[in-house]
Amino acid sequence: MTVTVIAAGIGLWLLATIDAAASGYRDAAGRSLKIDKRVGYRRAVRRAVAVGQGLIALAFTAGGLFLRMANPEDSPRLLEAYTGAAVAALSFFGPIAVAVGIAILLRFSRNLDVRSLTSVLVFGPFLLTRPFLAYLGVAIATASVAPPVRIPVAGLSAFAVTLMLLLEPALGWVRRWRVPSPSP
Amino acid sequence: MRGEPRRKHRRPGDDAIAFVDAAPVAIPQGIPGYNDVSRASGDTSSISMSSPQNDFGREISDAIVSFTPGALGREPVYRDALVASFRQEGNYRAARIVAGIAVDSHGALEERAVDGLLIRAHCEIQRVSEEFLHGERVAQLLLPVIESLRAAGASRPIRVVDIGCGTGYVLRWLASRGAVGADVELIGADFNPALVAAATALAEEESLACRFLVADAFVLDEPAAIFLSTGVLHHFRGASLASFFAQHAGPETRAFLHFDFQPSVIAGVGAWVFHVLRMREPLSRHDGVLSAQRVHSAETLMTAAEAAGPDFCTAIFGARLWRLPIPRVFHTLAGVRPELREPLLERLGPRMASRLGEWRLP
Repeated sequence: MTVTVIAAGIGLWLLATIDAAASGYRDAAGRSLKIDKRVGYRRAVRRAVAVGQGLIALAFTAGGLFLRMANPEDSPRLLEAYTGAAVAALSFFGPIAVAVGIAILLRFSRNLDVRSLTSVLVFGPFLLTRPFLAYLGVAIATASVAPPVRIPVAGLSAFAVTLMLLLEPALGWVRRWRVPSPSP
Repeated sequence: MRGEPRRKHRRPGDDAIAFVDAAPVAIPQGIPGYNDVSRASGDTSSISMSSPQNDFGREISDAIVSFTPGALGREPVYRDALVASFRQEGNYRAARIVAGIAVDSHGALEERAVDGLLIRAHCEIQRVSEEFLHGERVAQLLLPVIESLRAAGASRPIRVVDIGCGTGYVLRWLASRGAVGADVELIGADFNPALVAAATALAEEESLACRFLVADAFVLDEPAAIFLSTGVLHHFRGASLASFFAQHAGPETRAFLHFDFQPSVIAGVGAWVFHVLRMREPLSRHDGVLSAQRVHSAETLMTAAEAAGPDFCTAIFGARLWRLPIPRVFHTLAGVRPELREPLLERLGPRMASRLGEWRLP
C-alpha cells in the first residue's frame, strides 16, 4: 500500500511537472522575433516548472488537509481512495503523455513532413482538447472510487487540474504585468 | 462611432487616401510591388486588393495601414471610417478589433499602436512558421535553385529578394543557418518601416548576413535574381495577380518561389484550430483564418503566372503529402527560366522533383 501511494504520488507529480514545463514553453512561444530563442525558452520552462512545483505543493497540501479533517477511522479509506483515483488518473493521462512524448521524439526526425505532422496530429488537437481531457481524467478518477469518498476526491482532483490549467494563463498575466508590450 | 462621417478631419495629404465604396483603401502592408501593380492595372481609383469586392473580405492588417502610392509615404487611417466600413461589410469582429486600436487627436489610428500590433502579430506568425518549419521548407527548394544559377554562371552576388518580408523571418532563418553561401545576398523588402526596422535590428542583434529595406521589391537598385514570398499571393486578386507576376519579367529575374496556404477542404478548419491555439492577438486570429480562405488555387496561380510571365517554366511544388491525396498546408508556385529547368530537376533529385506538379513551359 505504501509503495503504491508513493508511486502514484510520484507519477502524478511527474506528469504535473512535465505539464508545467510545456505550459512554460507555450507561454514563451510567439513572443520573440529572434531566430535563436533557446535561452528564452529555457528560462520560461524553468520558471513554469518552479511555479508548477508551488501549485503541486498546494494540491498535495489540500489533499493532506482533507485527510486531517476526516474522521480518524475514515482517513485510511480516504487515502486508499486517493491512491485508487491517482492510479486511474495515471492510467488515463499516461497514454496521452506517451503519445506527446513520441511526438516530441519525432520532432527530431529529418523528415519535414513527419515533424509537421506531429503538430497537425498531436500537439494541435491535444492542446485544443486539453481542458476537456483534463476534466475527463477527473471524472475517470472520481468514478474509480467508492461513492462515500467521491466528493473529496472529485473536489481535490478538480482543484489540482484547474490549477494546472490556470498555470499558462497565469504566466501570461505575469508577463503582461512585467512587460506591458512584447518587443522584438 | 456609429454613423459618423468617414473623414471628419482633413489634413495635408489626405487626398492620397483613396476610397472604395465606404472603405479607405489601405495598401496592404508588407507588399512591395503594390504600387506598380496599381499602375500596371491602370486603375488608381480602385486599387485595393483589400477592397470589399474581394470574395472573403479584407484582412485587418491590410486595412490599418495606408501608404501613398509611389511615394512609400504613410497616410493616416481613420478609425471611425474603418470601423464603419467593416460593419458595412458585415465583418463585426474586424470592426470590434479596429475599434480597440488607439487613435490620435484627429481620430486616426496611432502609428505606434498599429506598429506595435503588427509586430506582435508577426511574432505569432513567426511562431507558426517555426512550428511548421517554414525556413527549412524554403531552403529545400531555394538551395537547388541557387545551385542551378551558380551552375549556369549567374553573375554574383546572386540576389534573393523576399517580397513583403515583414520582420524578415525567412531570410534571417536562412542567414542563421549559413545555408545559402557567401555569394548569395539576402534582401528583404517591405513597405512598413516599423517591420523593416525590427527586421534590421534583429539581424544585427544576431549577426545575420541579410538586410532589409523599406522599398518596392520590384524596383530595387540591385535587382533580384530570385524572388521569394510567403503568404503574399493571396493579397493580390484578379488582374492584380497577373500584374504582380508581370513584374517578374525583368531580364535579371531568373526564378521565383512563392509560398502560400493551399486551398483544401480541411484548410479552413486547420487554419482556425492553429490560429485559435497559437495566436493571442485577435487580429492575428482574424487575419490568419481569413488568409486561408482567400488563397488561390494552383490553377489560378499557374494561369496568372503563365499569362503575365510567359518566359518562365512554372510548376506547383509540394501540393500533396507523400503522393497521397492529403494536401499540405502550403504549396509553392515555382518559376524558373527555361534554361534552368533541367539543372534544377537534377539538383532537386528524383524524390524532391517528384513533388513538382506538371510544368507549364513557355
